[in-house]
Amino acid sequence: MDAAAEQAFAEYFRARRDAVRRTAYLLCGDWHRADDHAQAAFVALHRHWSRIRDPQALDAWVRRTLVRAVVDESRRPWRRERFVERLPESAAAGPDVATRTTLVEALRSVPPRQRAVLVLRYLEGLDVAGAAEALGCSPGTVKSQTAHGLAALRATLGDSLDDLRAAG
Amino acid sequence: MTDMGRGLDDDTLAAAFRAAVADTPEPGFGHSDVLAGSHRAARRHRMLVTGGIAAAVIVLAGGVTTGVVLGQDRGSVTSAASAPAQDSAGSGLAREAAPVPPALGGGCVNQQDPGLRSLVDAALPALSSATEAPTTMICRPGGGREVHLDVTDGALTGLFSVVDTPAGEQGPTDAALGWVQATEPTRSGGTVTVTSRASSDSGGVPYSDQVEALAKALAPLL
Repeated sequence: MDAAAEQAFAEYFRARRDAVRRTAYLLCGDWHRADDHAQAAFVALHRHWSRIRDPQALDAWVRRTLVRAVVDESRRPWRRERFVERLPESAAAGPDVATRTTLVEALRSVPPRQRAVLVLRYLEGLDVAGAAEALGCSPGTVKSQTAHGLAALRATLGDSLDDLRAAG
Repeated sequence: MTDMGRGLDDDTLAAAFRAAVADTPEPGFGHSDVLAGSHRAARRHRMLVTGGIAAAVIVLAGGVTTGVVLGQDRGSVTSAASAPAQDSAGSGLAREAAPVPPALGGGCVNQQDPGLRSLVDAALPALSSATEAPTTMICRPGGGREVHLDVTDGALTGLFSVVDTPAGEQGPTDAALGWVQATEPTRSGGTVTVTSRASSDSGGVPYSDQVEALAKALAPLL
C-alpha cells in the first residue's frame, strides 16, 4: 500500500479497534480470544484494503469477517464450545458487574449463529437486512434465529431477566 | 419478535448489551501488530503460490516425460497431463492426476489456499472469476485447507466454500437453511466438503446443482 492508504488504514484502525473488540467479546465471551479475532480481522482488512473501494463498506467487511471467523472457530472440534444448561455462580461483585457477567455468560449458552444475530442486532444496532448481509443468510433466517436466540437467552437467564431489565 | 415474553423490548436489550461491554479492557494489540501480521500473511501467501506453481510444473513435466517415454516404446500413448480423462462430473480433471501437495501440515494458515483454488477453478470454471471472500487466519493443528468465494450465478449470489479435511479430522457439519452441501471421501482418506450459501438478497442458492458434482470431481484429486 502507498503512504496515503497506510495512513487511511491507521485512522480507520484507531477509530474502530475497540468497537470491533467489543463485538468480538460478546461473540466469543473471552477478551483474550476477542482480541485475537479482532486482530485477525484487521490483518485481513489490511491485506484487502486496496481492493475495498467503497469506504462505506469497510465496517460491513470487517463485521462479516469477524462473525465468520468466530462462528467458524466454534465449529472446530478442538475449539468447539460447550453449551451449558446452568450458569455458573456469578462473581461476588457489585450489581452492575454481576448483571454484565450474567448476560455474557448467558450468551455463551446461545448457539453461535443465533448469538451472532443477537450481537449484531442489539450491540451493533443492525436491522434484519444488515444482519443478514453480515451473516450471509436470508432475512427470514435472521428473524427465526433472533427468535430462537432470544428464547435460548430467556431460558438461561430465567429470573435474572429482572436484573437485566433494571440494568437497561 | 424481540419481546422475550416478559416485556423486555429492543431498547432494553440494546442497553443491556452495551452495558455488558462498558468496561472494555486495554487492547492486547496495536497498529504495529496488525502491520506485522499482514506482512507475515503476505509472505506466507507468496510462499504458497510459489510452491503451488512449482508443484504444477513438476506434475506437468512428469506427465510430458511419461508420454514421451511411453510413446517411444509403444507408439502412441497419451499422458494424463496432455489429455485428462473425463470424470463423472464432467469436469475434465483426470482421476489419476497427482494430488496437489497439502498447503501446510498444520498450524495457522490463511483460509484461502491457492493450490485448492486452482483445482476448484479447473473443476468448475464458472468460479474462476469469483473473488475471494473475506476471511481471517485459521489454526488447524491437523492440517487441511479451504477456499471461500463470493459467487454470482445469474441472479443468485452467495458464499461458496470448499474445505479439504485430512483423515482423522472432522470437517464442517453445518446444514442450516439456505445452504446446499455435499461431502465426499478423498483419495488420501479425508473428506472434501463443498457448501454453497445464499446471500441475504439472493433468491436461491448459487450453483446449487454443481455442489455435489464438484465434491465428486475433487475427491479423487485430494
